Amino acid sequence: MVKLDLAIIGAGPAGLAAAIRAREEGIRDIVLFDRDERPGGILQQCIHTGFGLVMFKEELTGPEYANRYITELRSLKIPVELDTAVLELGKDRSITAVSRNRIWRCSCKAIILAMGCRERTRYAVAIPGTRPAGIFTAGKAQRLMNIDGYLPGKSIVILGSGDIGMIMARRLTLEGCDVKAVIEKNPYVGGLLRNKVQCLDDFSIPLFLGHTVTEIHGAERVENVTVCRLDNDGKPDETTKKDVECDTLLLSVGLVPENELTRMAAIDIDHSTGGAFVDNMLETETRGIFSCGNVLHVSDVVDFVSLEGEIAATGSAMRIRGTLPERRKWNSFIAGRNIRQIVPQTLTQERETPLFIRVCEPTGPAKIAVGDLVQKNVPLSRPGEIIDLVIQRKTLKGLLRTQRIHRIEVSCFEG
Amino acid sequence: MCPKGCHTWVSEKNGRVDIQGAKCKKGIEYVRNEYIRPVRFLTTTLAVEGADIQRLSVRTNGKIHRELLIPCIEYLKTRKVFPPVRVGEVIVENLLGTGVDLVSTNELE
Repeated sequence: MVKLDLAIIGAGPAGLAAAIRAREEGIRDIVLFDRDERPGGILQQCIHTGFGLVMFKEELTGPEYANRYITELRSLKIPVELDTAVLELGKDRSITAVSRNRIWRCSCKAIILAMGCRERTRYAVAIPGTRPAGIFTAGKAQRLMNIDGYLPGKSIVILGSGDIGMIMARRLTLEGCDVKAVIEKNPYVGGLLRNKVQCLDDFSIPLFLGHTVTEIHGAERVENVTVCRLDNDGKPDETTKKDVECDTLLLSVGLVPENELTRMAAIDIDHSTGGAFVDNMLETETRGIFSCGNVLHVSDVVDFVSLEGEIAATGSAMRIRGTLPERRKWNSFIAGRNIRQIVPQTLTQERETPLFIRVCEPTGPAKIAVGDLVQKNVPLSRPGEIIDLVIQRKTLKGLLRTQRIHRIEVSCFEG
Repeated sequence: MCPKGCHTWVSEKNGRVDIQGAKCKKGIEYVRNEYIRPVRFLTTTLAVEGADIQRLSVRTNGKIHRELLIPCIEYLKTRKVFPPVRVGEVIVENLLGTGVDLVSTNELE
């Protein structure tokens, strides 16, 4: 049994930022585990720009953003165990991991969960039809193209207007493929507006809102897909169906936090985010286990992921040194009008707290109110874009020093 | 529509472009460019020879006119890179006369 101060699971943007911050906070004994052969996580395959606008005030590509942290990590001599998969996580802060030539059994003073997320597949959205070759999730296609150097197909239909789907629409068009259509079941775009403009509009790629793919055809390879308009109840309207010829269908139908290890340790999961319940230090309900980045909730910009990694690392360092106050009162945030999810879910520590909020339905100009603690006006709100706001430390003083347990309602008021 | 989410209106009178609605300087500049001649960063990958890695990710170090993206990519399909390459190293100077360089965004050992 190896004794460690801090184990970090996942060397993507959350894990890298956490490792560096934990070392800056004075934690010497850190190990970062990742199952890939290279650190950086999904950033390695995101070769487009748009990363780092918040953290570095620069427009970087994914590999450049990752390399800033990797360079720092190397200069701090923080060990990264690559090609190493963590198989077990215990509530007692134990870890079992395997690599090609070693089994790790660790007992840790603190653990940071930074495993990221996974793509939803054809089976998650239940598309009927045959099972030919040529059906990929958008991120898998991105990896095939940008890392392995294969083109997934020549004429493409993309289901779902998530960010990766739209980015792949542009990438495939630039490589000479014919992107026939992007099909989205909602009446609004799933990803960021800037991606709709720069990926779809720039190349006149048709976007069909309020439509879906109802059937996949083809024996060996995809030959065509049936596309239908959805009626007001969200059911396919058979009278509108038409077949679109293509050899490839990409799915960009959502991401799910990868929480198998979290569940194994019997840590409670919030069904609205798919990630663990955490307090405002990003500590789960299990003392000493923290969660950050896409495994906590799926973010739309990487800068927030890194920021969460830093918060979790600061918390872990305080836990390891025994300076993090014990949690006695669990004040909680409650989703009020038009709010789908709030991270963190609880408020226990007296510190400056960033909140990450998603709405249920798009609105025009709106006011986001967090109880009577803080509010923010936004020019518009969309389910695909996180609204972030900060609760100042001094605002929390009164709230945390009373005996009462508070339930703070977060709401979005249009107009 | 500016990427930040501000709705903007553009009007032109006697060759003078007037922008309303953008709430920051960057937004005004962005909308002006979008109206006159949109510019974008180019990012793609190049074939690698002599390393374990198949593709090297690259970008332009400045924005180029949108209509030049496809010609540049077509040209880059003919290029190969060889290790070692450092992050930020110039791979192609003055890419097809655009005035910007193509630089590596990853390392190759």
